[in-house]
Amino acid sequence: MRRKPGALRPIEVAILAAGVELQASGTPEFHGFRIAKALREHAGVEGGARQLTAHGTLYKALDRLAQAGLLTSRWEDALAAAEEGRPRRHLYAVTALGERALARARAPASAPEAGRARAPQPGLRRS
Amino acid sequence: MTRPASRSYALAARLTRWWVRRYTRRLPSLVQSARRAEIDADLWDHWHDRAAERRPVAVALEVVGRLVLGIPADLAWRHAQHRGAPMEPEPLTTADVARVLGLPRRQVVELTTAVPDFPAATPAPDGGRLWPRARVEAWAAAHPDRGPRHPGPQLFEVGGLSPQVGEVLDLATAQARADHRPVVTPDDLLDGLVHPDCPGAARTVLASFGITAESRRRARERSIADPYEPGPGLVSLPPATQLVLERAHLEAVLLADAEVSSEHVLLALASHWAYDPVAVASFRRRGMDLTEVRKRVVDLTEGIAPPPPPQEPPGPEPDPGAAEGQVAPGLDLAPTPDGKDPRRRMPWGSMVFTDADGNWIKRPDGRALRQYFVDRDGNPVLTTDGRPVHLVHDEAGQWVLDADGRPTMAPVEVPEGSAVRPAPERS
Repeated sequence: MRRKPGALRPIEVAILAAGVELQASGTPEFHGFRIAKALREHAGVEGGARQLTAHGTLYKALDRLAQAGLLTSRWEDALAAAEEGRPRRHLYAVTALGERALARARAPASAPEAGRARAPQPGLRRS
Repeated sequence: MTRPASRSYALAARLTRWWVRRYTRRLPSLVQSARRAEIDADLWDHWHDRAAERRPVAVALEVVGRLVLGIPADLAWRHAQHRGAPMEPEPLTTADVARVLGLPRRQVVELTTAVPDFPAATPAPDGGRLWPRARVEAWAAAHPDRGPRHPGPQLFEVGGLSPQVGEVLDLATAQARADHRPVVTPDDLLDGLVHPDCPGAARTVLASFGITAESRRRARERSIADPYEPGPGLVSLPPATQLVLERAHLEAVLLADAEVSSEHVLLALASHWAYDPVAVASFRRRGMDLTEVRKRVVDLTEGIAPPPPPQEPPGPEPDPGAAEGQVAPGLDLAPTPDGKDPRRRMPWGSMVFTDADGNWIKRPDGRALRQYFVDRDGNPVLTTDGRPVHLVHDEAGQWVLDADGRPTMAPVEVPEGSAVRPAPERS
């Protein structure tokens, strides 16, 4: 089935949800492997497969979310990485737009969109 | 703390990196390097997170699984990049290369001859050389120890100049003083740039257009002939000249040069000429515009010789007696009160005509009726039958220029009972 333009894929919803959870638990930014691990833990809780997300699937989704403005991304400070003797990480954070998109994606399909079916409002009549 | 990877994990990581190189090949270098760096970080995190709790072979198999299962998404991602971004990135100019390497442009030019493995460049159509972006970035990554990053030309306080621009200004000021003029105009800067003592590349570039100290001397004599009377000797910089000198700094920054030099003053001047109709007409005859000047400056400073100077100045050979002929057909000018030919004096300003109530008298095209070419003593330039003169404008409001690039004059028909007064601005 063809996806509606702009609609979130399940992996993208899962990434946003995991990112929001990480941020709520005091991790303001996350890197690729961290989110893959969070997705695996989340899948385990829900009884799904306990495998790490494939590289291609994960980074394509992160790239798409960042392009859509649902995530911000930046490369971490080279000095911080060098001090720990590891490569620089690409860090992501869920934006306010990302949180709204996640809420919309999670909302039941039957729920009317806020402000859509407004009753006619009384107003001034033009003579 | 880093933990050495097992042989099996190292093999899995090598396989993953090989695949990443494959599917990012020929993508823009920034996209390429970002994806490769991101996977590198993932491989490091994966090993350090999982090695403690699982057997190395199991972790290696996990990585291979992530690689294989992600292949369709990798290919789809590559396809999307292919559609959304140019596969061949824009080549770099030498100034761009200088910025990538953190070196001044001159040093990049030196690298081309001093370092055998430095990427090869091709001539750029608009001057200088073009470099393949990916190769330059690869070379930069392979040679990280290039010394401290070049900070750009030194920024002086307002009014401060680099030593070379200071020399150009000294030469220009000397020319203004020699002509007994109280200001150093952008034209004087040009005289400074063609002076035999001028340092930098400007003089050679100007010579390639046939503009030399000698040609400038002839042009100056045609335009003013008799120098002004000696004044108090104070010389100031009008805003136009100051802007040109400030812009020279910007030109040096744009070219990633280490110091503001005479060629940057020339580029700034060429930009200034674009708004000067007299200069445009005069220089266009020599095939000289901002684009061509920029091309020759960049070429010369990157080791590409400019074309030889023209054998003869394009257009008619300037005739020293031409200024004494008619500037406009039928226009016969009276000598100034001090007995000089008025066409051999610089325009000193203009006056507007006002009616009895002090209102400006307008011409049919809506412009103020003016008389031009008033000498420094306030004497109007008059025809032999006593009529004042002004400059001829075309329908677009531009001056009508003669073959020598000078504005054409014509008599002004002045209504009875009008008066003249100094104009606050030029029309």
